[in-house]
Amino acid sequence: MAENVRDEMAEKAQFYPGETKIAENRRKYMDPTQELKRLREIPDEDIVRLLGHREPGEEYPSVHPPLEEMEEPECPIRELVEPTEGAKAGDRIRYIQFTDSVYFAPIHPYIRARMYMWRYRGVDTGTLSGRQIIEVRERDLEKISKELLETEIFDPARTGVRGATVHGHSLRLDENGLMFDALRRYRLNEETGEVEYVKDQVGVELDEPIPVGKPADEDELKERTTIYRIDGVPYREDEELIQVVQRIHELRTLAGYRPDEAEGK
Amino acid sequence: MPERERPRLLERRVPKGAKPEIQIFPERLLSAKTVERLLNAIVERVDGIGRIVLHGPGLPKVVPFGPARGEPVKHPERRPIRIQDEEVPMKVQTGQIIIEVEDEERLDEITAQIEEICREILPCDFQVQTGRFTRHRPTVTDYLKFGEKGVKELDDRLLGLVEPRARLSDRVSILKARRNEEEEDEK
Repeated sequence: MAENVRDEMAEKAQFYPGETKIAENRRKYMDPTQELKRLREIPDEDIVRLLGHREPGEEYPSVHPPLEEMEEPECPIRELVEPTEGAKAGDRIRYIQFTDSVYFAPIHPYIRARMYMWRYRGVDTGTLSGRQIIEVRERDLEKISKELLETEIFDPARTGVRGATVHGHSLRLDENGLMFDALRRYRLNEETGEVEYVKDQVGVELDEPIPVGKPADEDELKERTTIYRIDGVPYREDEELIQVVQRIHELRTLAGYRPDEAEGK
Repeated sequence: MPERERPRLLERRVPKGAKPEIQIFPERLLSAKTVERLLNAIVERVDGIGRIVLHGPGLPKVVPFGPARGEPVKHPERRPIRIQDEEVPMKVQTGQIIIEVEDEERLDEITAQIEEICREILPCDFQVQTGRFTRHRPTVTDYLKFGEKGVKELDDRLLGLVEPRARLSDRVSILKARRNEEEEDEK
């Protein structure tokens, strides 16, 4: 359904301006037709444990009966929009929240928001200073979380799954290269070289650690990141992006203060 | 990072009547183990130090909020470290170390000594800067906290060491004098 609408759109989405690798990454993550590279396997059960909303194997609690059993009022929008699996079943709304380090995390909050809106249906996302939350029906959430955790937009060291006490995105990294976490939800297993979650996203201890893979090295992260940085690719090096930003700024200012001059620009 | 690529640090002048301080600013947040080694080396090998302030993000004992509020955190970096024979509780992950220099005339020499120790011990790049980083005069906060009489009697070295709401005894460790010197540590 959503795809059909997109095909019929008069304009072709360009996603993001820019000529640099960073801009390219931003476009790639936002574009729903591009598949994200899968870097690791995390069993479904582990994802449920990490989220901490229900026990693995437990049935999904619901907040209303399945839509099929409900008598819905006649409404053209309801006919037009197909409900997601979670909405059909009447699941609760649950969340996953990420903190992305300023030190070349593969993705960062604003781009996450735009990516979520392009790629997923039935989501409510919020961008905050150092974290990005996504709220969605429970079974949809688990599917989305799997993609968010297993693909290239997640790095075990520079991305954190943090439901509460998120502080750390703008701090220097720990000695071992992990992003600071006051609740220490994850640790570096020095034998395997992998990062393991020992607590769920809100800080409740897990029975068994959940390995999420090895951290990527600095050069690889610089290739994957969406962050412009003076010690990576500086923002000012992207001429096309600056042109677009300046054009938007100019048009907004003119339209606000001298609308007649903005016409035809 | 080579010298030219480093971001320029804000200049920190030493106000009149204040003692200079040396700041160690590592590129990574330091583990308790590294801090233990570093402080022991500094305390043992460098003369003329008044106090040492450790600064960094706090490590809570229990989860402060959220659904897991009240659960123990058990952060491995929140543990006592031994400096000389004194046990010092670590409640922060160290990101900045500020050392007050008693002997102003030897400032350059002490800075060089500290830089050498850092090069030897720190696993990452670092910057050493001199100036004044903590306050040296009592403010309204101190008068509220200690009272007028208390401020007069307060040792200068305790000024500006802890945040207004924290208890001094919770945050300050006093190390035994070595060759008639007294050193303090703040978490």
